[in-house]
Amino acid sequence: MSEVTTIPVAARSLDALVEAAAHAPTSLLWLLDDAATPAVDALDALLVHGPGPAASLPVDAQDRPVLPLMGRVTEADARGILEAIGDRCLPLRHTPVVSLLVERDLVLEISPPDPGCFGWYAGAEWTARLFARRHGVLVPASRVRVDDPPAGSPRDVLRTARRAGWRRGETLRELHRSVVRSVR
Amino acid sequence: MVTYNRRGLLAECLDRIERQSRPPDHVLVIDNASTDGTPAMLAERDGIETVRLHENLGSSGGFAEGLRRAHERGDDWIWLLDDDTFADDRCLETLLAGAARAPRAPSLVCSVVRWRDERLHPMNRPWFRLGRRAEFAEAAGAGLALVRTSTWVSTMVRREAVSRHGLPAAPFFVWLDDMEYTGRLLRDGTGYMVPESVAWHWTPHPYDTLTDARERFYYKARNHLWLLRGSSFGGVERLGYALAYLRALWLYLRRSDDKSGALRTAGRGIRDGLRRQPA
Repeated sequence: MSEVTTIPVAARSLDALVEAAAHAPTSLLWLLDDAATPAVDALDALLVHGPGPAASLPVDAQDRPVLPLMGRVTEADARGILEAIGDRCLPLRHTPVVSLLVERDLVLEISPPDPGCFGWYAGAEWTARLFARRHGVLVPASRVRVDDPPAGSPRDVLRTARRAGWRRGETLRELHRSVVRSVR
Repeated sequence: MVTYNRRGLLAECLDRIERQSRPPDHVLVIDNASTDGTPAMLAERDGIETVRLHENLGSSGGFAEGLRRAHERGDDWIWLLDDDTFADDRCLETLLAGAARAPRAPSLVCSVVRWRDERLHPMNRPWFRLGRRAEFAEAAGAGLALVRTSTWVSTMVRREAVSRHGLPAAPFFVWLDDMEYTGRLLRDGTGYMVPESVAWHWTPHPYDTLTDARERFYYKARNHLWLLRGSSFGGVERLGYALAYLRALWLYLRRSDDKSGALRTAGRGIRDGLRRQPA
């Protein structure tokens, strides 16, 4: 049985949602994009890896991972990656907020998402700061279906990169991806 | 297993094989014409097939011969081990379990390789295939790491992959021969590292092909060029590997106490690497 908490604000963007959710009367928050349809065991799989930040794997209707929404796996520490894989998850550097389990106290510790960022870049910017404070993981066993991922502009990429301190290569990759998506 | 003049290490390596929770069905040791009493030690052991080569053909020649024989025998999986590899008691069992739960049929599976103090051995550090993000996440969900290459220190190769890609390039002799072979196998194939399968690479120091500044750098300088000219890597990977080559040469020359000797060693390697690889 789930307890549903109503947040009495109109959360049109991630920054508003996070700010409102931070005042919810629960210790754990499951932030879920309204375009995402979680599998029945998605939350169970996230809870296995909680209470640290844990993100679901966004998939399309054919159950294939939606690459732009997957988030960036950390590349620094091979040992850390192997240990995480032993626990059936992956350490993340940042991720769009499609389905994210996070502690409320952690949300309160950092400033809210940049209201100037749009789409998944808002999540990437915010989670980069969140995961710098507490290791975040991607949990492939937790799946959410996303049929129509939102687009982001190159401006969003640059703004996100500036705030989240991305490296040059990372920013260029995201810019390329953003341009390709906008052309399509 | 391939060995050359490491009688003590080989004996320990074989002891570890005997203690496996899931022992291999057949053990084949390729002796690269050892002169330290290795044949006598092997003769005292039961259940080991030994092939003594007429000369030292290096690890590449030894593994090529071993893979050829194992392939002819019809073994489904061929577990490759250097003679200074100490496999954990469940090393093979967990490798097989990893292959069984792999989301895609693997060309190879390999172990996590540690040095004596438990750190990841620099010579066998995993090369993760992070570029294939969807496959990487899929593998992580099964508790496996998608890899681009592997080494001779506890790698298990599927028979079909050997049928398709052939044998290691014997002229490499030592160093990067494993990268050449596994890179070729995995260019369009799939390989996984199994985190719970552990082997120790019992080298005296935790060196890699860069920090091991012995005369053997000649093989690094030569084989790296052969690798770049071969079919193991392409596109961006080849470019990255070319940059790594320049960095390796620069670091080797900078760290060497005998600059003129180091220059001669690197120069010989570059000269031979630019020549055609012997058939």
